[in-house]
Amino acid sequence: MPDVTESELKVLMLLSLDGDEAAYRCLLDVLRHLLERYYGRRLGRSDRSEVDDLVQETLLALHQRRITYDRDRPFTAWFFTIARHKLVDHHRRTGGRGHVGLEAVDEMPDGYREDAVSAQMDIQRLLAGLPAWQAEAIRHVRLDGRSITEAALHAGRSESMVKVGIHRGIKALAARLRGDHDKDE
Amino acid sequence: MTKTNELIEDLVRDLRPVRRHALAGLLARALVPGLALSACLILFGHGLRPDLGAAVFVPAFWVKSAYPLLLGLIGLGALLTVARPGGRPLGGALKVAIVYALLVALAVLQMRQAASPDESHRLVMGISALYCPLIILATGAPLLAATFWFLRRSAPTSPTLAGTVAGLAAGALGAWIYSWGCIENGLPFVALWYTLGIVLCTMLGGLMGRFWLRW
Repeated sequence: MPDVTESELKVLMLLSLDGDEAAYRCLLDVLRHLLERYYGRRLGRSDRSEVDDLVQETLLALHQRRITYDRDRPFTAWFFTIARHKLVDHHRRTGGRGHVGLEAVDEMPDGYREDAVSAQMDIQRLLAGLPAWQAEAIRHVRLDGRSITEAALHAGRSESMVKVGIHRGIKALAARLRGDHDKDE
Repeated sequence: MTKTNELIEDLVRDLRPVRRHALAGLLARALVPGLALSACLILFGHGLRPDLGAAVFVPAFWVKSAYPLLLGLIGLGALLTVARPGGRPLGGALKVAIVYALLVALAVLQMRQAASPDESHRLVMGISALYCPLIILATGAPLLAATFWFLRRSAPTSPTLAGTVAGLAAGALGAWIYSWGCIENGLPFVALWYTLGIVLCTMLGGLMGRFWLRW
């Protein structure tokens, strides 16, 4: 499994909330694999179609209820509370079959606990693979909330260059996260 | 597998930006028509209290109005908590208890100042004790609809708890609206019959939550 961290996912979520399609596609793609593992473990790998249904339901719930994500709180805690809710609901509907599943419901996947200390480092690591000025532009505009004009001034480039740079940077970032994942499977 | 890919593409295509305080904005959008409808019920179905001009100089009038308003605000704060996955509004319960204790203390003070047993009786029972809780249930109904509309668009993970909180907020705000039409000045009356109306609305909300807040 890729070492996608809380803060990487959170950056993708924040970008998605701002309407960034590339980041959103990347986020859903990573989460989809996390969920397949999460539900697969709890339902047994044989229940492939049930796992797929739950994965889809959960991604849809994330989409329809993303308004309830608090930008100041950890993303994975929010997301896996939804995943757990869907699992409990699944057990309720199927008549409580799979007692083991219910017991395992409460634990979060390894490595997805609140980890504020390393947050800043992870974001740096995520952006490190990009050309310096692109990383800088993404940091300024997407994370610090400054205007394109300010970022352009800072980078000494035109506004349209900055916009293109941010767009390409995020695409590259998404590709990198996906690549990380594929290597692992 | 491919179905999941298709779903992801559909969701990406449907992506719209979400502002920072969007959840509170959604609640506000639900409350405006709810409050308006509830106010109309009192204005046109019941009428403002006839002596409103004089009542605004009576401290008890403002206590009667502040009590449900405070409960309503506490309820709305708790509502924003239960609307998020895993949200537990523990602080809210304590605040409700404090507000109620304050009201009871003021009610006791008012009872002590009563000149006659007749006056005491009136402070407790008023002349509208029997239908006051029912009116509060009625003015709470549009707000219950509003808070449920809001919760069905958010992500409460415990339906009964979320419904209960919605019922509390709706009942308390409904009682606040009614406080502008109600002719009573007795704080013991408020502590008993207003509270009963709010409790009924809270219980109704909890019951409704079990059925309508599953997702």
